[in-house]
Amino acid sequence: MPTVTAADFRILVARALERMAFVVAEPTGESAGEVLARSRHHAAIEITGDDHRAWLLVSATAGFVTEVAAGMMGMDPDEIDADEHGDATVAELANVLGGEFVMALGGDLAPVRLSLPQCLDDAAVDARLDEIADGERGWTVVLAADAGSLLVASRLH
Amino acid sequence: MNHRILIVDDSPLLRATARRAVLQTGVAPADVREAQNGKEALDALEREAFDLVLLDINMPVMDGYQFVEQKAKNPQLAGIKVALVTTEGNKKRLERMTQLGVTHYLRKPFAPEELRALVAELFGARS
Repeated sequence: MPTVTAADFRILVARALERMAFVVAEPTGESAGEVLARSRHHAAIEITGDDHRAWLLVSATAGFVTEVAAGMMGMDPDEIDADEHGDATVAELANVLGGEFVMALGGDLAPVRLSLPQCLDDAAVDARLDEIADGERGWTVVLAADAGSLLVASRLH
Repeated sequence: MNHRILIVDDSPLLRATARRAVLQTGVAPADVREAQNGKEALDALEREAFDLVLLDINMPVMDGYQFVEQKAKNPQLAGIKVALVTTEGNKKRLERMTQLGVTHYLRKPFAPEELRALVAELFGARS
């Protein structure tokens, strides 16, 4: 059974962001808690298969969602309203990164499925992160771009 | 020749991204419409003529698989091309879509120029 480590996924996330939105995101010294404290938009997606059940959580600051949405739509960041596009952006990030996660788990051959992405409030995010606080079968990845930061967390059940 | 294109995705961000990419191709589409799920897309195909559907899979109400299966049952819709633009990468499920008439596939995450190239290829134009 393939596994996906934080280091593996950090690379997948960085490649996906550059490909879909021309956003260069790199590892940062910020902790997950620091990024989460500044994040305004959160979404999660569930991954289910015969051998796998997992979730993926995406939290992003307003600056980060602005940068990604602008890159995807070919607009200037000043033209993007983070309140208007923030939830749609993190939901699509959860969808795309969930797809990458599924493929990393061998989803090209195995019957692994993604749920629809769901936007979360702060309390729901805290509950998810509590699940992986012990570090068992879960990880967090923090990346920073020019205008903000992104937190991606996952737990494999 | 002008073409009519239907973008089907539940994400408003993806619809806007795809619309922009399509309008930047050399195919000069006569019209680009949007639908949020497979049900809305089927309704649109029954009301209006389209040449191409750019179709996501993972959507509420009616997903892309269900849309393709329903479309395949209607011979009047047989001439409409369908290209998947999706996170889906499962080979068996994609083979099934091919059997039902899907001819092109672009996996998310995609670069905008990849979508432009796909649309241009479908209509025989340069991207």
